[in-house]
Amino acid sequence: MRRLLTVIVLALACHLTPSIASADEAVAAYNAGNAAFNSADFDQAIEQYETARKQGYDDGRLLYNLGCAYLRADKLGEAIRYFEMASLRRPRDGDVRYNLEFARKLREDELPDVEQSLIERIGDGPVKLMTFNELCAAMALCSLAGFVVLIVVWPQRTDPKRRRLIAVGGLLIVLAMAFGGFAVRHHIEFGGHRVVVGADELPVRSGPGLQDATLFTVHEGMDARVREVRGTWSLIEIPTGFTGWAPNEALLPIG
Amino acid sequence: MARRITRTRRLFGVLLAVALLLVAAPAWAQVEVQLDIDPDTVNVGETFTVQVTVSGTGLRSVEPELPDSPYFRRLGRSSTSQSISIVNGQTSVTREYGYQFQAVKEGAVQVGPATVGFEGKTHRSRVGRVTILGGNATPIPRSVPDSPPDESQRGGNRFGFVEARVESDAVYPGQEVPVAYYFYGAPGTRLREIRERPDFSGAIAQEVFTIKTPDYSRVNVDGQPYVVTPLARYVLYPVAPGEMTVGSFELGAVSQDHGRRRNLFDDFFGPGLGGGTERIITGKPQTITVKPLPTQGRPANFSGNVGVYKLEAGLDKPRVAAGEAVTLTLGVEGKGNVQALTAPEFKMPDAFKAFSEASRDESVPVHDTIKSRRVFETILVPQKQGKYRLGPFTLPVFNPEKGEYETVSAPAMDLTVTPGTAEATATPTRKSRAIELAGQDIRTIKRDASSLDAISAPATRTGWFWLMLLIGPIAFAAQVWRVRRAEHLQHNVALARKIKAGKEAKKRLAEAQKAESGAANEFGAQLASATMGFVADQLNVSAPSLTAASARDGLASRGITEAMLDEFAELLRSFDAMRFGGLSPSLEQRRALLEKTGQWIETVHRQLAKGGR
Repeated sequence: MRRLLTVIVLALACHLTPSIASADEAVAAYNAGNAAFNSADFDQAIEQYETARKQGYDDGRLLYNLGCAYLRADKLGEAIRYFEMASLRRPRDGDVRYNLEFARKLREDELPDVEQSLIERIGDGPVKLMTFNELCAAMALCSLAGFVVLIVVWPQRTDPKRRRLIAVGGLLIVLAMAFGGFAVRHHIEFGGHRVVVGADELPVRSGPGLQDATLFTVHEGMDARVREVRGTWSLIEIPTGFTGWAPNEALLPIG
Repeated sequence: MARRITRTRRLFGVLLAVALLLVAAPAWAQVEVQLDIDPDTVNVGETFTVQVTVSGTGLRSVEPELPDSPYFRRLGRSSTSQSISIVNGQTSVTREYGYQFQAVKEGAVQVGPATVGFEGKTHRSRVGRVTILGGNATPIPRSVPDSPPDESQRGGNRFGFVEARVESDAVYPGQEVPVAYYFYGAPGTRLREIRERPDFSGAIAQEVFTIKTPDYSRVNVDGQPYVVTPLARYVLYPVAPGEMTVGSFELGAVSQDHGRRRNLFDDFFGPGLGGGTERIITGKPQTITVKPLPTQGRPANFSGNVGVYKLEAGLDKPRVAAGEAVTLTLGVEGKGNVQALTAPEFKMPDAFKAFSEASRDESVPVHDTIKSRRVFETILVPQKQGKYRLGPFTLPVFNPEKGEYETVSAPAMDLTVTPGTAEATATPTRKSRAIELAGQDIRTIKRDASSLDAISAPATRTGWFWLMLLIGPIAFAAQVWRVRRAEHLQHNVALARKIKAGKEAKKRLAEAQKAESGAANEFGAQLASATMGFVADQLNVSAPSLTAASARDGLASRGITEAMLDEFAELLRSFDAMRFGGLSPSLEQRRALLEKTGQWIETVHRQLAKGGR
């Protein structure tokens, strides 16, 4: 028994040691990136932050700082990409939202403002203010709590509070379903193949080849969604609903 | 009870509906308004159409509103159409409204948004844009040819041909040569695919557009009616004197079989659906003569620029401190291959240093041609304070329309340089974009951290999520089943006893086992109690009222085999011998009897369960 425990402890130690080491390296690289940023060496800051990312860390703060460094280094596409990624991990962070909007205003392409109704805003609230995992956790917890209430109350046939407690349990389950719906909407809106245009100017074509006609041109930092990938070309859709083909190398994936 | 269940179900129904409404609310609330502009680039005086499409469920009569603009005036509504579809009992209506506008002033103008009021709510479309070019701009050619092609240009076959319309037959190297392609289809012949695109040897080609939405017109050629479809437009730039070949398209088309009457589906879907024969249709390549550039009048500083251009110059600020950067922008715009353009010349004062010379092509397709423009940017850093004059700026070119050399120019500009604090030798750096946004700046970075979050998988890919999600409903279902079963057994004593019979018998046998080393009559009584109790439970009768004969009859009526019934009788005899006959078997014999009794109970239990009775 003692031998078995020793083996388990050793195995766990071997498993955890590299993680701890890489965590230290990532934190050191992140802090070094901050120091470089503060001394206006943005290229060095980017390099350090990217080193931290390569260790397997995508902390919202790291992505946000990376976005700041890319913006200072005048790489708008990359900056918007990382602010978008940071906003997925820290949706309630005011700094992230502010800098993302700030960077979007620097884009050459203007997009029309979309006015939302009150119902749409209420419906979108949790989607924009919570991460996908938070929505999933809220769904699972509400569901569990609701069913626990129902399990406890169900056999109490004569309890005068039974109906009220069943309503509470049902409400929690309905809430869980609502969170599930929001999670699905979150996935539809922010999941999938979202990209940011990385090229200064990107002619979007009618087909996947340079010989195809240019339908419209977008510029660095424009958001798009990839609808289809064919070889080195992607069929993209920009927020106005226009679709066309662009080379993959000009698109920066968000995720 | 039933009433209570109905109420609970109703409550669940209401809560479910609320949840569905909450999640689906944005979907059912939508009325979509779309706005399209065609064409999106016009000259002053020309017209354009704004198409507003309103779609949604339960739409009644609505009229979109479009804001007025000083850049164009409304001529009237040109068309309306409506389509209705019924899906899952919901009536979806799509209404299209076409409005005709006339451009009155030059500029890049916003059109819309179109607004539609419906059920107390205002729905808006996106904002469209139209570019209005100056009144003296080159007229924008229309898609349809003015006249039918010559016999020599045709090629093709009796089902149709491809025509390439070249606006000049003798040109200079570098001159812009627009080429338009049209497909002439005989009645009943429809275009299906582009098999091959034209080849242009001896020229650089830029595509202006390829067919996207076919735009048909009808013409007669040699008395034969044709439907004309614009295929593509290119702008060619001949490379060198000699000959330039303008190739043709190879098209795949479908022609209607002769003798078969056309029907509604043919008109709507084309012959592709209604049947027909595949045809390959081509046109004849054309040869254009490229003349050499004249030597007479050629300026000494001519560097090969050919085209009809105008030059404009600008500085990003009229005053600058010494040592600070100012950007000089020189824009060359007109007709010609701007990709091969060399930078305009100008005289720079000695007190200036030039950095980061760069140029970019800002050519854009404008309707059926290309508006060529190239911008040259130079960052200048004045070293000393003072008033300076930059320019004039000149660009020697060959004008192919006039057939002569000329120098396009832009006037000189004044720049005031104030005393600067920065070192005059400083190298200019590109300003951060962030500072450029009206003096605003981004928020600062997050502080140093002692730990970072690692990349995490989505919750839906983790076990805990599914466990938490599923354990509730499964446990609840189990609870409901348990409660229902308990209630059911409460009302069905026979079933309850039958289900518990095996368990009860085991308990009694355990009691008998405890008594196996004690008095024989006590042990016999325990075994008899276990056996008769089991039979009584199975037959749902009271144990004291059960006799050996009634027990046998009851078991026989439930399909127990004769052998087991005989064994039952033998067991009862053994029990009675111990209880009342003074028989005192050895411990081993008692154990054997206990085991035999247990086996009998188990076998009978199995037989009854199998028989379902």
